[in-house]
This record gives sequence, C-alpha cells and structure tokens, in this order.
Amino acid sequence: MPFDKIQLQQGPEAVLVGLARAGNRAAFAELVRRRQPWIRNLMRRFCGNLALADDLSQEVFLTAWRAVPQLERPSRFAAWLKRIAISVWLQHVRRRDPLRDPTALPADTAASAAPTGLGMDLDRALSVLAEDARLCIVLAYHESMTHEEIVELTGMPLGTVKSHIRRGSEQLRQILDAYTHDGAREESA
Amino acid sequence: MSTDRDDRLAAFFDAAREDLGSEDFTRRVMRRVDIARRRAVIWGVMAGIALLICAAFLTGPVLTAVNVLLSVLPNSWIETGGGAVSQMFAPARSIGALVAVIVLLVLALIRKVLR
Repeated sequence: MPFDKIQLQQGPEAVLVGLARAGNRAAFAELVRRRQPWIRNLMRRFCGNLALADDLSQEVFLTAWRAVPQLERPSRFAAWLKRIAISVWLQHVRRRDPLRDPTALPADTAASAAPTGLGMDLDRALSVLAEDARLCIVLAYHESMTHEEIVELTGMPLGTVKSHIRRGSEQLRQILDAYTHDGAREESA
Repeated sequence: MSTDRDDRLAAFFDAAREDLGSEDFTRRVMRRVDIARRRAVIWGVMAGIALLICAAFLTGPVLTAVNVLLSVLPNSWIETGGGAVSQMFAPARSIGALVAVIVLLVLALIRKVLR
C-alpha cells in the first residue's frame, strides 16, 4: 500500500525504518529529513568544515540506505546510524588526502561553508586536538555518551578514552577561555 | 557508567549546535540513492549476462570432463583377477577411490600446514 507524504511525516520512526527496509524510497527520504540535522552537526564537530561535513553526511545516509535491509531492530535506528557516522568518519581519517582536507578547500568554498560564532570557535578549538581525542570529546560532549559507550563504539581501551577526554577537556577549556577573553577585549576596544 | 563531563564545556557544545535541516540536503542524498539503485540494477543485469555467457562457453567442456571422469573413475587400477572377493573390493580398487584418498591426504596436509 503506498503511503502519502503526510502519513510518512507523521509516522513513527520504527515504521519508517520498516518501510525503508522493504525498499520504500519515500520512507527513507523522510528518515533523512528527520535525522540530517543531527548527523550534519555531528560530522561538523568531527571535521570542523560544513562542506566536508555535508559530503560525509551524504556518505552516511548512502551507506545506511545500502545496509538498512540488514537492520534487525528498527527501534535502534539512531544508534545504528551513529555507528555508521563514526565508521564513515574513521574511514575518512584513514584515507584522508589533501584534496578533501578542509584546509585545502578553495577559498570561495571554504568561505561559503564557514561556520560562524560559537560553532566556529568550537570547531577551531577542536581542530587543535588529535583525531582520537577529538572523536572521544565530540562523542562525550556533543552526543552525551558515557565512557563505556564510547569504548563500545570506537573500540579504544577504557583508559585511553578517559585520558583523551580528561586531557582534551583541559585543552579545550584553555583554548575556549582564550577566545572568550579575546572576544571580550575586542568588544571593549 | 562514567562520564567526567565538564558542565561548562557541555553547555558550550549545546549552544554551538545549529539547525542544519534543509530540503536541499535531503534532495541531494536521495539523488545519490537513486544513482546507487540504478547502478545496482545495471550491475545485476551485467552480472546476469556475464553468467549466461560463461555458462554457454563452459557447458560443453564441463560435460566432456564429467563424461571422462564417469568413464575413468570406476576402472580398477589394480587387477586382482575375477571372483566374488575381487568384486566385493572393486570400489576400493577403483581409480575413484585412489583419487578420493589422494584428495583426503592433500586436505589433511593443508590443514596441518595452516594450523
């Protein structure tokens, strides 16, 4: 039975996932519409560049479309999608080439994709951290995940995750404090 | 369950979250999904055609090989003369039995080497 757009927009996520598993394109499009702000924000925190984040987010949804028939529990869609997002990010880090690096983007693309305000400060601060530390910090703060959940998702040892978060938090605090002071000084000047 | 979360940093992350919802993004994703679907169909058709071609080319040689095997394997490789005992052990004396023993030995050797 075909579903109209309004039915899909009002339908619970588990039902949409069930339909997408059966190959329903419209149901999957609705899932993309609902979940894209979350995935794009997450990817942006990982890579610090909106254009690249969008590129990787598209990759996440494309992978999800290919793999959704194998998803056994539709109620776990969000956790499953997050796992795909992290895997896409880790693959990108491993095969990173200078052409896809945010710093190598053409000036006009970088400018049009440049975030503003708090997001920009945060992305700059995060870019100082090592890849693994940034991954742990983003999952801990952006996704509010516990150490154990991060261990399960990334496969890193618990001690490593804890130390990445402790040191990374300290580094971020210092960098963000410096931004806050600089901003206040510029405003007063 | 442990977190060690710094509340100030958590608030900063929350504040930096942006509303990035856009129909354009969904359209772009679905365009790529459509391309992937079309590509899968094209690959499926091409794989089917390739299989048919392979089957057409291989059917003759495979049938010939099967016929040769069927005619060779039951033959005895040790002649023991006639009699009931000889007939009783005929399967063990066949080339098929010899081939089976050789295959089992090779498999055992491979397993030993790989262990």
